[in-house]
Amino acid sequence: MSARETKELAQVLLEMTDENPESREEAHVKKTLKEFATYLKKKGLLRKADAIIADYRRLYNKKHNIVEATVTLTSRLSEHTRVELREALKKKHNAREVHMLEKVDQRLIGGIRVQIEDEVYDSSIQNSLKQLQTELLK
Amino acid sequence: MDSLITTFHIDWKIIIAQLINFAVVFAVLYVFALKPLKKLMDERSETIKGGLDNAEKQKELLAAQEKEYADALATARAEAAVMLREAKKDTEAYRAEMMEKALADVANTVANGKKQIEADKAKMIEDAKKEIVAIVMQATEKVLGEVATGKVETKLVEESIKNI
Repeated sequence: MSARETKELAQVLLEMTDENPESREEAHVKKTLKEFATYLKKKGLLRKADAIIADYRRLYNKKHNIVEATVTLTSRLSEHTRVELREALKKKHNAREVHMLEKVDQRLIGGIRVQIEDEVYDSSIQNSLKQLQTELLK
Repeated sequence: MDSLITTFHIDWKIIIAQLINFAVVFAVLYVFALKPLKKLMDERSETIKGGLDNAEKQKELLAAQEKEYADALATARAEAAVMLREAKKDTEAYRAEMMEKALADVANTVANGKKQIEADKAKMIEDAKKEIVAIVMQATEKVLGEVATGKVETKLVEESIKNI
């Protein structure tokens, strides 16, 4: 099964669960998911479920203008900083909503690393040192 | 005639008898002496003549062999001289070729050596550079790790957020 077919299945699932207010109702969503899972099982596509779910998330976020960001720092964000970051990302991506997954990694030394899908904004000291090292070794 | 016969007491019978005797003696001598002797003499003469012919033939053969030997010797000498000249030429050419090859080998070895030295030098410099950079990075990392805490860290993050 190709990535295109996975995306098409995710699109179908999105249309079935997010077409109108009725389709978004919990009972309807549960029923639809059950039917969809049965279909995947019947077609032997259950092993592709993770890829379909990932595509579904992307399509859903795109449709609802939601940005999912993985934020890595050396310590937890303060509430004030979190709000600032969320607003900055909303502004940059013109997003309605920003979902942030925070990770702590001491290897960053300092600064912040934000990943949104394939786009990475890295202002960590670790990254700066890496760039400096590359320059020095040229 | 009769007087003559009487004077000399010639007796025809005796004369005839003597003639017969002489004939018999001659015949016996001829058969048993002269004939074998003549045969022996002839054989002897033949043997001597054959020996002389043979000696002549041997002499001629010897002369021919001597000439043949001399010719062969002259040819061999000429061939040996040619071969010697060729061998000398070949040796000189081989020596020159070997010399050229040896010089080329030496030049090649020197060039390779130079290249190797250059490569080693470059690698040494590169390794030293890497090592120095690694030490600098470690030190910087340590210093920054100690500095980038608390307010400095918060400030860093806030600055980063402003630049997004």
